[in-house]
Amino acid sequence: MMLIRLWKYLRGYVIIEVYGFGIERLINMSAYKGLLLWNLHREGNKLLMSVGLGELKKVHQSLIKTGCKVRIREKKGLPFILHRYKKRKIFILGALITCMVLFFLSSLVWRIEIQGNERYGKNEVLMILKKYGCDVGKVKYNIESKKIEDDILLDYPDIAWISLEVRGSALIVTMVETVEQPDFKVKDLPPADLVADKKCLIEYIVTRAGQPTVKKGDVVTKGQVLVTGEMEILNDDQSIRYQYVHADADIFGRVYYVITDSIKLDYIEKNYTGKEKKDVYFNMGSLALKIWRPFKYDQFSDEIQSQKNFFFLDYELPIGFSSITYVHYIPVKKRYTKEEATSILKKRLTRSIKKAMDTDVEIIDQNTQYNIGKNKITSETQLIVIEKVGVVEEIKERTEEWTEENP
Amino acid sequence: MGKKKKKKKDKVNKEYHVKPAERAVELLSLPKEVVLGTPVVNLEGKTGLHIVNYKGIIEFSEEQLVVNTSLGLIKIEGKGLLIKSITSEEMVIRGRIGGVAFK
Repeated sequence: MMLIRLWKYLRGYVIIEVYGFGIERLINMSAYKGLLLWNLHREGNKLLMSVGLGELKKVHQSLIKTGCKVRIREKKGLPFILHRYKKRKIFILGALITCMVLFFLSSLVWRIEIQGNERYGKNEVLMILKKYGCDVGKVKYNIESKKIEDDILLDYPDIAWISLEVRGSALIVTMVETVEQPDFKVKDLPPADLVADKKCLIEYIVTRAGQPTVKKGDVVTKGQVLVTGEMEILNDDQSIRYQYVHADADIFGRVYYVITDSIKLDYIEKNYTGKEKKDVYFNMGSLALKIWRPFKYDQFSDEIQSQKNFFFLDYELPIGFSSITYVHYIPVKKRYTKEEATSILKKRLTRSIKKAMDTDVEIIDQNTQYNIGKNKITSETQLIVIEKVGVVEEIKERTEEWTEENP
Repeated sequence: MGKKKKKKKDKVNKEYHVKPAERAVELLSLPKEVVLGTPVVNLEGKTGLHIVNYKGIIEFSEEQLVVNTSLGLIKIEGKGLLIKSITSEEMVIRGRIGGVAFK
């Protein structure tokens, strides 16, 4: 039905008033001539009807025959609109040019988005794409995705999969890099010792390569060699030859730590009143314009700063609003009780221990002593842990010195 | 004049008889309105009427529409009658339909 209505509108039609005596005859005659009439209804003595533009003439002929008078009431349809714009050809031309320019501009690539790159930086990928002909400003229909994808995969063995998809005027590049092979311990490792990185008591040592120089129960200092990679080998003729390996061992040692902490009993508590005032700035680049400045609180307040920049499509402009919120509080002088203060110290201690220690560290003993002074409380914690010790230190191979005595 | 009277009598008798042509079309299950030009009146609810195969409009006003068909006059009474569309073979009527009668 909509199609018929559209069709009538496109062809153009008129609503006419007919009055006279032979109205019914007129209807019959027009219908028999094959004309389509619609919306015929009586309005008092008049008959109103709608008839297509092309058939109006034939209706007129019938009208004259039946002796009826006619008057055009309304003109509807596309032909009438075109007639109105006959004098405005430039307008139509402008509209056409706009469409063409729009179409042309949207058939270029304006943005390249890269997803899935881990080892490759965005610029690297962009340069690679440029080499194969994908760049901002290129006509998007000319980019042969399949061919370029295949070429890149062939030339770059560390890209496992890459896909180029043109979405609108953006080129979306999705890639997956090959999984890096795990580094196996290659025999080409340089000769090295294992050296203690902190003073400890050796608890446990299992050597995989090299010669251990310490055993369980030894106290070692920082820098002391624990496992040496220089191995003395006796030759057949009792002379000593040195062979070098990369020392490797699991060494666990008992380390003593002392952690001190202190807290003052007097402190200032922030009693937030709930009042807030906001300064709003409008900033462009590095300029900041205050546009809303309420009275600044001379009293105490926390400052919270927030910034929101405008976006144009995907690009963040250096223009935006920022605000500084002043949250008012009344400082109150308070004093911790001994229990409160010690619990705060305890919490701080557990947090710092967690942060400092690695996962494979075992805490054997923890002993905290609190010293309650007049205005502050200090804590001293002795911590005994068992942790992995030993760092790799490369050794220089002993070269035979050529001297005059020793050729 | 005499002949006409006879025809009238015949018509009265024949109202209860089916014409041979009509019979044939019925047996063959062909659509009567296409083959014989029988007028067909479709009533859609209270507000729509659809007439196929008519010969002419005798009278048309907002309250009454009289249509001439091959089988006689059909009178349609109603309120606010409007001929939605009309071609040489069918017409569509909209408006509040009161009644359809054969004159």
